[in-house]
Amino acid sequence: MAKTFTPDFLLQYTYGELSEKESLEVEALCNHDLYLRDELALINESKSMLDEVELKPSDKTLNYILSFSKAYHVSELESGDQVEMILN
Amino acid sequence: MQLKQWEDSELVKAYQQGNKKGLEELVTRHRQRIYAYILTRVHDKDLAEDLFQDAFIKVIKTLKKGRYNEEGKFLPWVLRISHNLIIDHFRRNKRMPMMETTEDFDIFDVISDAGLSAENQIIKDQIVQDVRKLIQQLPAEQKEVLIMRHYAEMSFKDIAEQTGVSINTALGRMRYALINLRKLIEEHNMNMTLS
Repeated sequence: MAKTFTPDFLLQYTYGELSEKESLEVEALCNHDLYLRDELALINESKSMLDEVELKPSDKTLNYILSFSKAYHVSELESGDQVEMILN
Repeated sequence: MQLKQWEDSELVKAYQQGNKKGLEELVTRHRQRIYAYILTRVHDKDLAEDLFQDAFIKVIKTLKKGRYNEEGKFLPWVLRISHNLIIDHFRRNKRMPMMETTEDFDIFDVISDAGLSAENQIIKDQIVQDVRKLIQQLPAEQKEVLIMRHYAEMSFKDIAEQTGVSINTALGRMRYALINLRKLIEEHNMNMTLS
């Protein structure tokens, strides 16, 4: 039996959650169904709008991580033990 | 070849061999997803910043000590570290994470713009501000799904499990979130495109 595609499937399609076969079916349907095609265009438009903004930690946090990354060193002793060092 | 084109595993290896830019690219590449993952669980900006920082300190130490052995699975590994830090935090404080959006915290207070060309900066700043305002006006359930799917990049199946609803409900909430965003744009007669 043919699968019924609803606008919710378009969301999964847009976010890459459908199988290749299902994606091809959605694309074929959108080529013939004006309503689905308009829905897909609206979803893509909204998604692009959300892409304009980024959710990220503060620069202070990011800079701390990168500074730590530069200062942190590990040396291996002859005994096989490791020594951690923070070099400023 | 630019670092942006490298696989995570190549960046990890480069960093372990002394190329600091390797870690920088990994942080830049995955910061949004990891931060959003933490933020949607702890609902506290300062705590999310601390946990994000702790997670990467742990990453740095593990990589430098040569104890990383999950070749090609960097992101799931960092997400697991983050998850464990969240659990540890709530165990220490004997408090379970709140999943509801609280009135005194809005996740979009911490949204920033994504690094833009100078000529479009002013217009873009306005768009970013407008989008933030619009998202803040969405019902809490729709806003939560939108953040989990779009910014934390969780699948609808995972969102459904985490929020205790069916996948159809999660999809429906996301769909209405997008529909409502469009409505709000039309109501406010906003222009959301860059010239």
